[in-house]
Amino acid sequence: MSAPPRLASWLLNQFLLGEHRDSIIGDLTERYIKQPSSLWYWRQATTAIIVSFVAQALAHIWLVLGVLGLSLLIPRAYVMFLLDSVMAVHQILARALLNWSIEAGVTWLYDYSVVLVGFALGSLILCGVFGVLALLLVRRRPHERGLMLSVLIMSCIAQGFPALSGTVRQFLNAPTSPLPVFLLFVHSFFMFVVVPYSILTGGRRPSERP
Amino acid sequence: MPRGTLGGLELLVLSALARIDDEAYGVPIADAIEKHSGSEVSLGSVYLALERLERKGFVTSRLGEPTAERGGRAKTYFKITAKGLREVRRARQTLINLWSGAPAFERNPS
Repeated sequence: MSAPPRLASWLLNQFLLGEHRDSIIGDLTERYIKQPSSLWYWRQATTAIIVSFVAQALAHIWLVLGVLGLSLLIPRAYVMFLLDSVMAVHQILARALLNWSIEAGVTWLYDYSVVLVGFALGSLILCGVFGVLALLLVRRRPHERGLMLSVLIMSCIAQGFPALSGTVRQFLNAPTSPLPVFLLFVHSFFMFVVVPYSILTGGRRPSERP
Repeated sequence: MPRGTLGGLELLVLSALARIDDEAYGVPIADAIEKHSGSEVSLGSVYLALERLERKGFVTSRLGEPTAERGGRAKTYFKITAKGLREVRRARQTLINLWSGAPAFERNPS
């Protein structure tokens, strides 16, 4: 008995919304076992997720707008109120890393210590804030968990694109320096993988908590 | 459609349920639509149509038992109501009335 594609099944489990989500996943599994076709399963899974998201978003439009507003407000509030304090910590940590890299003879870190600490610190704060926000939202509205987490994740990914395109442009202007490639990799990894994962982890179903 | 109550997919789903003549779940409903329309239908869209039909009182649903071959997921069984049957009959009659004697169909019977 063949199992449906694992990634598609995971996406369905995480992001399929609506009261009949379990029955839809069961129906897709049953049909896949009768006629195994990964392409068919992927097509059905993506369509089901999109259709259910649009239907739920339209049914809870004010909730979607509220969550979207919060997710856009948080990075700006971070810049307005927290950035100075974070920069002070950043300077201390970057100096410590630079000193260590000089003592240990890790030469490649000389150029990257400031950037590396900046990215790590900023991304950790962002992950923490969005994870806690997801936790609070899911506790308040457990029935709309999937909808709220999907909106948060999409908003974070969308907010990552301007910085990503800026880094690409910078790299195209100065293709000899490896720094933009490094920044591109770190930034993409955080904005498109780590922050969404922290939202999912923060917004786990109450039954999934240890 | 009469009184603007049924969308295109809703009519297909309701017609499929009327054909099955008993409780049905997503797979046989989608199979019936695909068999008679000749094109693939999204199960997600079928369930969305079923949810809307349930809200309108045209179908009822009940949850079955979870089974291992479905990954431990239960089936949701749907049944057409008397109101739903009246609505699909009305839609059928409207379409027949509209089609009969339409010049476009007379010119090109295929």
